[in-house]
Amino acid sequence: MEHALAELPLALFTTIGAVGVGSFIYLCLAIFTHSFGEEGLKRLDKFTLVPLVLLIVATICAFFHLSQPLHAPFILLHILSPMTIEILVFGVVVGFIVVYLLLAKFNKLPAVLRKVLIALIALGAIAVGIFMGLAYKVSTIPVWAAPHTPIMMVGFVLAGGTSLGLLVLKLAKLEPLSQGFKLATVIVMLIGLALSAYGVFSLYTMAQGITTHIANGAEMAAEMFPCVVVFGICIALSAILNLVALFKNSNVALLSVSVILALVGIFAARLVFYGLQISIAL
Amino acid sequence: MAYTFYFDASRCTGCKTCQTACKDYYDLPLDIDYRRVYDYEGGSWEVKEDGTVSQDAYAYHLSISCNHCEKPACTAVCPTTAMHKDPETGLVLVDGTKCIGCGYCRMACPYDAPRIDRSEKMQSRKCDGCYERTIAGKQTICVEACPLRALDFGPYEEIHEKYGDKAKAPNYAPMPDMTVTIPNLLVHPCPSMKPVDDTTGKVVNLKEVR
Ligand code: SF4
Ligand code: SF4
Repeated sequence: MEHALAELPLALFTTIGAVGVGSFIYLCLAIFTHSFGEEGLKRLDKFTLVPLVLLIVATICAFFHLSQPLHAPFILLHILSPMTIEILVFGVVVGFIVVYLLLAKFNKLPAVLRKVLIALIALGAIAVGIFMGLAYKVSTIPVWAAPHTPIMMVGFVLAGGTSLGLLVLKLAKLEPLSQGFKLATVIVMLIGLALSAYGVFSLYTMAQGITTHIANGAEMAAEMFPCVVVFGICIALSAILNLVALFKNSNVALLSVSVILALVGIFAARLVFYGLQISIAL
Repeated sequence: MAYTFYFDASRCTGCKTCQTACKDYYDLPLDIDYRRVYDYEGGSWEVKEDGTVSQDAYAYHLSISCNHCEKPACTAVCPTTAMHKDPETGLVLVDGTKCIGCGYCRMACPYDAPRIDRSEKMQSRKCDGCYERTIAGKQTICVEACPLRALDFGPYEEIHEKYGDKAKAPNYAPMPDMTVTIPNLLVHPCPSMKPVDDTTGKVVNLKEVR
């Protein structure tokens, strides 16, 4: 738990960042499966500012992690370091989102360009998940360097973005949503749930089996268990609310609760991740 | 050129003079020590049928700082190149004008050498092999302070020649396998010193060294 609390800004960055970029995957699915009309798209673009604001909040959290934020431009000096790649990919995706929204604002976003840009952003969102995970490929911390780390982060992007994506569509009053979109949303969300559950389970069980001269993985894992439970409950409840919103009764309050549950669940899982920082030695 | 530390575990009493002298010389904040002394202990005792007790308990100390590794884990992850290996001396140094204080170097170092100073300098800090003193031809503070003469520091060839077969590769608990970062450290073990993969002991003064 001591490690987890020391990395709070990073836990917030990876949580809010994953949910924020993940929502664009669902906006992409919506744009590809509907023709919303000019007014509908205007409303959509207006409320697409919500995930952008979240991404800005995530960036601010990342800066809080640094003791010397004014030196941040120096991260470009080691372009192949895991953290530099992570920040660059995140920055490029946020940059694309800003360009997309500016073009939309100034009516310079024809349908084809809109589709190309949103598809690139959606693919970028998955890349953000992968590189947020690979940033922790530190060979001296085997429990982080394992494949479950990027898998888990991609899972958080896919499963965490669902509720925020649906909320943006709901705020923009883009209804009714097509069956094709609903089906695609359920499939992507379920893949996200499976990846995040696998990632957290694999991380947790691997940590349980590690004992070093200074750390007892089983004891550390037991300390983080309440966070695993919070993750499981919140992410499952969020998914259920998303299904209710998709197939029964969609409203802003329900989807807002779902977004909060997704954020809380993923944040708890991120605490588990940082809490299980077990070096090979000292 | 590579400088190396030498540690004689058969002399070290765990008095922590090296740690304190370094802390004083560099006026380090309360929560930062460039050199730390780990107390490693283990073993058990058994009551025999005749009522006598036998035991194989042991304890030894390991005084360690940054080892200015040949394959540093810290420089590999540092996003700014602030953590770098000085081409002249081989010492691994922090360039405070570039460091963002992200802490990746600390996460990666299996010797837990770099520490993030969040109260004064707002950057990563660690042993620099007393860089200024070393290039001026002086000895490091920890070596000079050790009352048991358990520490030494100097060019690798010189140290190797001076201690000959006494100086062994640093493959002892609680350190990691030396192939991970190839530390510039030579150790003369005490009889109770255990190999890196030992499972009988543990570090018992964690609160002092973390
Ligand atoms: S001991 Fe740690 S900080 Fe020092 S050079 Fe080796 S890996 Fe880097
Ligand atoms: S804290 Fe400084 S020296 Fe350490 S990895 Fe970050 S930028 Fe590099």
